[in-house]
Amino acid sequence: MIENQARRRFKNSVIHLILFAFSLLCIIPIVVVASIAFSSESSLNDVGYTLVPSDPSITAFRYILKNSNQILRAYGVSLANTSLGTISSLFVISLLAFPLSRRDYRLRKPLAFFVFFTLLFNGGLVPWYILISKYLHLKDTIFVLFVPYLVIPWFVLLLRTFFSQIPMSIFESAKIDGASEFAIYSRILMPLSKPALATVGLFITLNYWNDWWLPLLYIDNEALIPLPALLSRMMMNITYLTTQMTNSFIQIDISNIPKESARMAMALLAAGPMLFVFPFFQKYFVRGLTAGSLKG
Amino acid sequence: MKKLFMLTVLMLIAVFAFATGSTDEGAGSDISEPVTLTWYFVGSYPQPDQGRVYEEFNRRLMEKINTEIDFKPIGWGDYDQKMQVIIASGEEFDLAFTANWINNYHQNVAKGAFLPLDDLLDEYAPHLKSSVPQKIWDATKVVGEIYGIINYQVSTMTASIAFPTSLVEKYGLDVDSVDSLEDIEPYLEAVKNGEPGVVPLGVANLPETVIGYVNASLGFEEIGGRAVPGVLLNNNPNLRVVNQFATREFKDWVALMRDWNLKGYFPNDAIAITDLSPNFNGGTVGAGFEGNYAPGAEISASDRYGYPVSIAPISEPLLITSGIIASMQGISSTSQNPERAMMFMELLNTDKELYNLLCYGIEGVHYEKLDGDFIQPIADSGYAPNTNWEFASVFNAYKLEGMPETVWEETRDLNMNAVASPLIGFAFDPTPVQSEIAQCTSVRQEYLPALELGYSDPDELLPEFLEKLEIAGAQKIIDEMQSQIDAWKATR
Repeated sequence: MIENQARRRFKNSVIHLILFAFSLLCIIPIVVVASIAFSSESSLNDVGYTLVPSDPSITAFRYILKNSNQILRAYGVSLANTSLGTISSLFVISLLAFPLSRRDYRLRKPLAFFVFFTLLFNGGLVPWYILISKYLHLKDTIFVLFVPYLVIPWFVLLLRTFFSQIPMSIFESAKIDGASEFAIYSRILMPLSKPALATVGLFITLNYWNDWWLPLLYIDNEALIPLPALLSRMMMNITYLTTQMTNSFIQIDISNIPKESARMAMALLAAGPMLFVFPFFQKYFVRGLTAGSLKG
Repeated sequence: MKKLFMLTVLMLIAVFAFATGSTDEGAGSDISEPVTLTWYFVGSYPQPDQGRVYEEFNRRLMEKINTEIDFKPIGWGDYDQKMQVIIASGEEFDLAFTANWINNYHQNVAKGAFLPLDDLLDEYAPHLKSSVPQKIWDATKVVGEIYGIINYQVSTMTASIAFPTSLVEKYGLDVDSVDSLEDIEPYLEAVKNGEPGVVPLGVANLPETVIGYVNASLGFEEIGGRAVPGVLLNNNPNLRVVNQFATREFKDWVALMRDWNLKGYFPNDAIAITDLSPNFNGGTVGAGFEGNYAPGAEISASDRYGYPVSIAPISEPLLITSGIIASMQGISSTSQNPERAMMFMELLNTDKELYNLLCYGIEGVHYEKLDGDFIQPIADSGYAPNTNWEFASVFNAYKLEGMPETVWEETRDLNMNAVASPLIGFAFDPTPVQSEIAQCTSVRQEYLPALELGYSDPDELLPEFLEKLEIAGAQKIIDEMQSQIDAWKATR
């Protein structure tokens, strides 16, 4: 008995140790980013990256404060685009996945093929650009930030698989009670699939929050630049300038480019909301894993 | 596949060129119709106050030529990609900044993205045409026609070194007497012994090589881009291409770098440092390689670093194609109003006030006017693109406080008196040897930093580097360059 307990304790501590090491691997990079954000620029070159700033300074945040207008607006655009995008994308994707999961839908196969085909093939960058800028006239609007990613085939297939595990008989009994197809979708399917919706929703949220490709292509208006685009543009500018300086015959002034610490401070800002979003979805993840486990 | 793509793009462009071509007949040189021109260019954008400057600019331009500019300033990192998509999709625009280092001029001309300008220049921009010497226009020609409007400025290539003036005075270095890299060794030694905490020579592991800074002083004229094997050595009159890494000049230079590293003139961990600007801005560097030298460079460098800087050129000025086509505007083949675009260019190259508005912003808000043509920028004013060289001829620009009165005359003289490379007007087409160039680039990235920062013995590493370059196809690149140059020479 006592031996058993000791063994269990040993086992537990090994597991804890592994989990502890793993969480360290996740936490340390964030701590380093924070430390760089709070370091002075010259100490970074002299000492390198440390876990605790060797020469604490808040110049990076002063830079951000100086540009607070732009950064705040970008934050707002990002929030608007991510929330609008996630909601409408989830709606459209689930509306598409539902019929695809129904065995009694006659056009199921061609429609599924249509979705699957776009997973593998697409028209290429230039035709896509022409379609969106010339025919849909979405350039420089808030819509261009989420409409092109409304339907992501991979997520459709994911949801379809989940939906098809729900027994048909539930839908049939609802129908007998007089429910319309849309009522079945909104009042039976949606509540039943919360865990799946949460998973896909999180993917979509991350997708939108991190996206800089659409704004790079389609946004010229400064007021509509989201935060990741601002960050990636900054990084691309820096890489470009440091690699091309010697290439060109041109003297380029790089003194007002945000330095490493400022970049890290912005990365902290950008990561912030996602740190809060994840625990919210996590609730549903656990539920999704345990749902139905008791019923066997 | 790639060919098919190119074909599609070309067809698209042809369709758009045709569609626009049919509409601009009869536009004539009158400016009775108001016109809006779209202009793409690159820089540190967005500037917080740019909207205000552009508004003022358009108000004045409207009065002069009944034209408005739809400004499309794009950030450094995005410009190349964005222009590729815009041009490939045949989107309508009028003007775009183009050069050999961004939004590639020759590739765009090959795609048919730009209009040939000879007639437009003669008709609508006579002053602009005559203010730039013919040998400079010649460098922009592709199969005999001009496709780029030169932003006239310093076109020569001169290697140079920068020093903090305070240290130079303290250790008695006569900057004017410095003609080569070797000349500064006693000074570096003195700084090393006398200034703890100061790096004598600020070098770092730059992604695009240190040698880029000293090419001119070694006598190399690069043909296929940065550190691609194949250069013209010392203006070789027979136009014979050689592998620069196999020359005696390169060998001597890496030996010197090795020697200096062992003597402790370099930062401790030069090979791990990619950005030394904090040290330069903090004044903890004794000397550093500076970009291309131009009259007045001391002033702009002092401005950048925040303390007085002296600069010594270490090579003869050389006039080469890549120096000339480093800053141009192209008129798009999708433009509805190429005549007006050219009129606008003529105006921007002759109207001092308009040009300086774009360079420095609004007087009293973004800069203060001093005596004569001198100005002083107001710090943190919200508009300071610092890219005079990309809008039009810099010879109309206001001078920064402290620049020599005659800086533009000196620059003009520098251009006129510089030795012109025998390769002016030649542009290398890298497509046939693309994969060899890529392979040589990865070999170069592996070996060159250790060689140019003196991290290993060149007697051992250099032969190995050369051997790897040979395997990667260096000779094939050089042969291709030679055959293209010979073909070009035959047409002259």
